[in-house]
Amino acid sequence: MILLLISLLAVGQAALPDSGAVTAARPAPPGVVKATDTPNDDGKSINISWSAADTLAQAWLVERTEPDSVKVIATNKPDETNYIDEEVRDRVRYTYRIAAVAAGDTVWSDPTPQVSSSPQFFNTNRINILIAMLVFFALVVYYIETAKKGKNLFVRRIAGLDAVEEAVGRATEMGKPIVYVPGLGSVADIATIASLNILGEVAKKTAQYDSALLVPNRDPIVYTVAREIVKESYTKAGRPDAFRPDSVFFVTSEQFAFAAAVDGLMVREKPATNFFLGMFWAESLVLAETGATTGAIQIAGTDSVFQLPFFITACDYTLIGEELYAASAYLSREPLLLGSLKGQDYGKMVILLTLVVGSVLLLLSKLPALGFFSRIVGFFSTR
Amino acid sequence: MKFLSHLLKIDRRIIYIVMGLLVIFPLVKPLGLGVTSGPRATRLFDAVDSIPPGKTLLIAVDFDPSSMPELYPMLAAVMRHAFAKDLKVLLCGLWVTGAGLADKAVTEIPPEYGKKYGDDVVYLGWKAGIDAVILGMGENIRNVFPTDYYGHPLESLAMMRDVQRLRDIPMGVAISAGTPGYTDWLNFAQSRYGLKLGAGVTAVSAADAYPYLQTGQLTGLLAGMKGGAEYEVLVQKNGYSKAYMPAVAAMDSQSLAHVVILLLVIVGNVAYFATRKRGT
Amino acid sequence: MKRTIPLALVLIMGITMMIQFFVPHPVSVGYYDLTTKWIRIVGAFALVLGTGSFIMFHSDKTRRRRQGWGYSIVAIAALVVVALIGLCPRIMLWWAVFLPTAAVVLGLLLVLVRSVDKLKRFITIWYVIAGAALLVALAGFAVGVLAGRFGWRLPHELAGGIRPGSILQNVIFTNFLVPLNASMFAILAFYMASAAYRAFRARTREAALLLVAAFIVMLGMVPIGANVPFFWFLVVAVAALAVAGLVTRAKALFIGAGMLAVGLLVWLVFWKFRIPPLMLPDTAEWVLSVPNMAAKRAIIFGVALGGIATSLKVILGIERGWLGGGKQ
Repeated sequence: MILLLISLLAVGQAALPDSGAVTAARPAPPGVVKATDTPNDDGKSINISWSAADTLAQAWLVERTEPDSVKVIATNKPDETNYIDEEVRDRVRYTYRIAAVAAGDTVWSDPTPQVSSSPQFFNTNRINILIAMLVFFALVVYYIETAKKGKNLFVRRIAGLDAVEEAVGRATEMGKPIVYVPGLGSVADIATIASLNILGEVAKKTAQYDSALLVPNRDPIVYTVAREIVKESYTKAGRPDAFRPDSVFFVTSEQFAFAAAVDGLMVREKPATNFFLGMFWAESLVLAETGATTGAIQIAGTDSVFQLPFFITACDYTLIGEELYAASAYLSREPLLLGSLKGQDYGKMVILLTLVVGSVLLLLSKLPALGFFSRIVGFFSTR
Repeated sequence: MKFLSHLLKIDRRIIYIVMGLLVIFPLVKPLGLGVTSGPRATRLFDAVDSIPPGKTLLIAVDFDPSSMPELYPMLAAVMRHAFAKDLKVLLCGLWVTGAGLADKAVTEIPPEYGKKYGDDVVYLGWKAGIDAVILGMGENIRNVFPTDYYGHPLESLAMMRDVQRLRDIPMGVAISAGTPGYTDWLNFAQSRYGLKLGAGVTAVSAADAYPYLQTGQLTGLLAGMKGGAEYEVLVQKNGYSKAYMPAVAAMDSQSLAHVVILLLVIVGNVAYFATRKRGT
Repeated sequence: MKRTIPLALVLIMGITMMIQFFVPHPVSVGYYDLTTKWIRIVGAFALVLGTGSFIMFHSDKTRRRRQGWGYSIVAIAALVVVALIGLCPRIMLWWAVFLPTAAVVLGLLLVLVRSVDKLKRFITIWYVIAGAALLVALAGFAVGVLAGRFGWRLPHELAGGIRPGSILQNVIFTNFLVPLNASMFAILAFYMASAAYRAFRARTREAALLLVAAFIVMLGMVPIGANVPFFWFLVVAVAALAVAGLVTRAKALFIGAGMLAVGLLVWLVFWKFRIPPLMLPDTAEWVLSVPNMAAKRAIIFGVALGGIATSLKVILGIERGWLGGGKQ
């Protein structure tokens, strides 16, 4: 009887469903924890990555063991399975462990092998840029050497630059000054350097034709450089006495205050010719349209794609983008400068070819057997 | 015909007067043309709307007074949206000339929602350095801004207790008139520290931001005054604000201005073709 | 020597900065940080040069009474006043309001006294007033500095400093800089109208294409065009071309209108005589993001390569215009 009762109880217990206490499943320890020195950096950084063995983890703990201490350094959300530890010292060995945390349970992984951080001497992500740079430099140097040997290099007509002589002549005939604005950029901007090169040529012509030249500047350094360039040009033209120091002046560093000042200058002086060459921003139309109202002939050039439409609309001649950079070679016709211009053009051809080939490869990489093409195309992307 | 020749040479002053009158008129008597919100502004709105209450929204004030008419309404609308959702707002800037504008926003807008400086809104100010500033904020905001714009140590501001670095901030909105601007926040804050980023830009440079939207790097974009107007409409429609909407009001003026320019172009071309035909 | 050292410096710095781009080592990063600090320091010194040029230019203009010399006085006065306000950490508010007002009034009085013959005899009185104003200003400045040094408690109106949010900053920034900058930017709207009227003529086929794109984008980007189907826009364009053709009796316009009308008919047939759902704003978006972006990218490519080539020429010393005009 008693045996029957016990067996009935045992069956009953087995039959009864697990009524109250629902025990949560334990998360599995993280799989494949990898700790490596962060590549292509200046050191003091270690990458830790791991995979989730299941979806039970509600958080991850990252623990670092160093020679004299052990501590948890980060808590990650469940979907974040990597961490960059930037509080390490170079050449010190560390190990890491990751814990999966869920409902009070913490399950640790095995520690990683020892790893230490160190700075790298070459950023391998930038190999593509290095190769492109070397190819481009090679082209430029090749054409410079070709030009040195006396070969005639063709450069197409640039209307805006052909008009410089005519514009200066017009000012001389009318007895009115020329206003030359070398842009609002600093001397570190390539457009400003290109503009200052053109200023040298324009100043030489104004010295020869005895026209007045006014050069308002927004940047103090550009002002000092521009003044020296104009002075030197007058000296080279054999007219050092004709140079007026106050013809090149600093106005203000504030963008629209500069535009207002130049507008006032144009309205008062009524120049025959305006040059707007360099880096411009929103004030470009303010300058160009005011110049147009005074009846001046206007030659503009900028590398800013946003301001080009305004200059094209309001000016008689516009140098678009790289035509501004070609100006010094075009005006001086020096073989070295022409050679570098040719090299630059062929560099563009190389890029064009790369674009076409890359687009075709990318299209073809969608085919099953040609998937590796996308890796070739990936080589050209910046990281 | 003499009349057509005159049409070819309309005095600038007449053009300016017509333009001026047609821009001013809708500001005095709104035409009610209405603004419908586009997908880009809606995306930004939804992203800000989904930030949980109590979290911080970072707003970068990277513009100067000349871009104020276009960009300040965006700043105001985003701040109103954030306050209505009980978000904390942290402002900073990479443009020194934006400091006064951010100060104006911090002074005028929080009181509308009963928000207090230090508890609900903080303005860090401006620092030189662009990438150094953003990278520094990514590590520790206090390294770059030990005090706020008004000289208060950050430790003394209640809001800043939970905000140590960029990773503590779920989203940022960079309102930029040029460089430095949203591209710097993308390059340094978003790619390195994972800061979700939206942008407000001038109409001229809006097209440049489209590729970033397509790749998902930007979560929403407000393009020019129209973008600001779209965001204002969204904020009002969802009951977050009843304030005057300057961008919406200005859109009527912008519409008429565009129509004037188009009419002038048509008139000029008609006169050009007519006089060319007659050899005058 | 005068040219050799700068050329050598440019060569060394150019090559080292090129190498620095590829080397992530801390020494390289430190070198980059150092050079950027140097650039900022040199820029600060250059500001002194620029300010000197500014003062010399305007004082020379005032002395020689060249056209617009009165504005030069205002410019110098503004420079001095705002610089003083910016340099002094704590200024007494009444003095900070007094000083710019006094400077402007005295400046105008000086102009009057020296320009008008009958008033020239009052020059001595002007010197006395100016001297007194200067003494008051110095006294106020001294009190402000001493108050900051010794912690004197001054009444609020006297002790308003130039910390952010102060009245003084509001006066200069909000009431001067903001409206002036915004006004200059606003001028663009008027200038765009006059420039568009003057320049947007369909002289060539390309110009005509530009006009069409301009119409689409300008209408599509504002509320007026927001709900207009592109189809109706083109219908209006056909009608406008036809009318213009009638008025001017230009065959090209009639031909254009005819071709467009045929295209519209084909499109309508394709949509089974329902209005095609393409809206004007979507077309404008497409124009901005596809052909416009393609052209911009092409220019950007050229500009980038031109920039690299110019930089290389400067580094190698081939381009020497920046040194001071012409080659050696």
